[in-house]
Amino acid sequence: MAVINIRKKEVQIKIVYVGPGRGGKTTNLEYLFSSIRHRIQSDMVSIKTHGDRTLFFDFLPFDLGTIQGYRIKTQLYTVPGQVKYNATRKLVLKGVDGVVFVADSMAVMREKNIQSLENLRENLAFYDLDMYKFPIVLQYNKRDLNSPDIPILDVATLQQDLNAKLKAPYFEASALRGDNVIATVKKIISETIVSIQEHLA
Amino acid sequence: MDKSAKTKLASDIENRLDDFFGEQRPAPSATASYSLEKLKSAVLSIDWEITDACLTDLIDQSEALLPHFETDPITHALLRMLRALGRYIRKRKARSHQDAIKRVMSVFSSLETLINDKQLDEGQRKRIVAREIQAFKKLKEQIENQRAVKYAAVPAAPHDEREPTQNELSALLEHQKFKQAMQAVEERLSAEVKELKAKVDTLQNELKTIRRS
Ligand SMILES: Nc1nc2c(ncn2[C@@H]2O[C@H](COP(=O)(O)OP(=O)(O)OP(=O)(O)O)[C@@H](O)[C@H]2O)c(=O)[nH]1
Ligand SMILES: [Mg+2]
Repeated sequence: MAVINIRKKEVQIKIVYVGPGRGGKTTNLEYLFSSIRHRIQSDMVSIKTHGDRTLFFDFLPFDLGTIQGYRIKTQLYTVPGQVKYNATRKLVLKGVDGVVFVADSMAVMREKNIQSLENLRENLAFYDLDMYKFPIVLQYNKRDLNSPDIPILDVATLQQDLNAKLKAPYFEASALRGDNVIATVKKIISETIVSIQEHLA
Repeated sequence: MDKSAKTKLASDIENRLDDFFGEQRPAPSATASYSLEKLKSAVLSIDWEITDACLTDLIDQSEALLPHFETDPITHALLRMLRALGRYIRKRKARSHQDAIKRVMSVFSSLETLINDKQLDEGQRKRIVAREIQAFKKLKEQIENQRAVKYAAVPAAPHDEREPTQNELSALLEHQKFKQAMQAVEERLSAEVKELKAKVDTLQNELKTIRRS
């Protein structure tokens, strides 16, 4: 649950990017960081193995400014997508307020996407959170891939596989090019703040 | 929360997010016409949000102006600097040097002065461009030094002929990565300590002069 300091009029929200390994979570944060770095005080922290896989997490904190008198401090995290790092994923998800699920549009990733979403459901349940009632935004990433050698799933299939029950907002994106990366983060931040507000009321 | 309060909250959030992240602009069209206004809006967009599209715009607009200043080496130099900075930032993205954007702003503002202020004499114009060139060179040096540190830390090839095994390789890599990280931390700390020492020195000097008077 968000850290809310009524006296200081400050709210801290934690948003975690999850999804299958190599799906583009870190690339999302890198793009965001490059777009806002000149306006924020903080740095992005990445802990990677060689070959650019996230080993522990990426972390990008920033001060969003004031909404209705409350200063909103946002923290973006990514988890490692590789199946074997579930303990780390669970740990990073502790205290999460909103989730971006980055799905990989490549056809070969179809099963991995589904498994990863199921893993998210379990990990949230571990903290007594119901994924179906939780702020979440789906991102269908790598839409820029359109060479005949790399078939990609159409959006209807992704929707059917991942969003039939969730009915969450979703974006087609290319984290590499930056398409809809900002739209995704804006959506999850606003969903998260609204949900926090509803819990308070 | 009643409905109107809800709508108000939603629109407040939206406004804040738009302000923070900037409105997303459509990618610029390929037809670039020649005016400083276009370059200016490219520079302003970068101050607002650093995207590939803005940077490409910056590069294109600088390039488009170049032929107009073929006979004015001072302005020509500034435009080339802008183009180089744009290319560098576009390539390095989040990893580009923290001062690179500041350089873009500064070079553009000098360019604007040079073009718009007709009162400047040749000496003043030269001084302006000399300052920019010097700062640009300094940035370049810093960037090259950053790279030099990284390469210096890359492991030397093994002495014997045989290829290292996968395990040896990954151990080496991990070890070197850790060393690099430690080195970066150490460098940063020692820079900070240096800075603090300098501050203490100036404070002590100030104290001395106060005591003397
Ligand atoms: N074509 C294309 N490639 C992408 C896109 N997003 C990410 N990639 C590439 O996919 C690879 C993996 O991206 P990452 O951002 O490191 O993936 P990740 O989800 O953080 O992976 P883990 O840390 O292992 O969980 C990199 O080579 C990226 O350049 C995209 O939108 N389009
Ligand atoms: Mg990653």
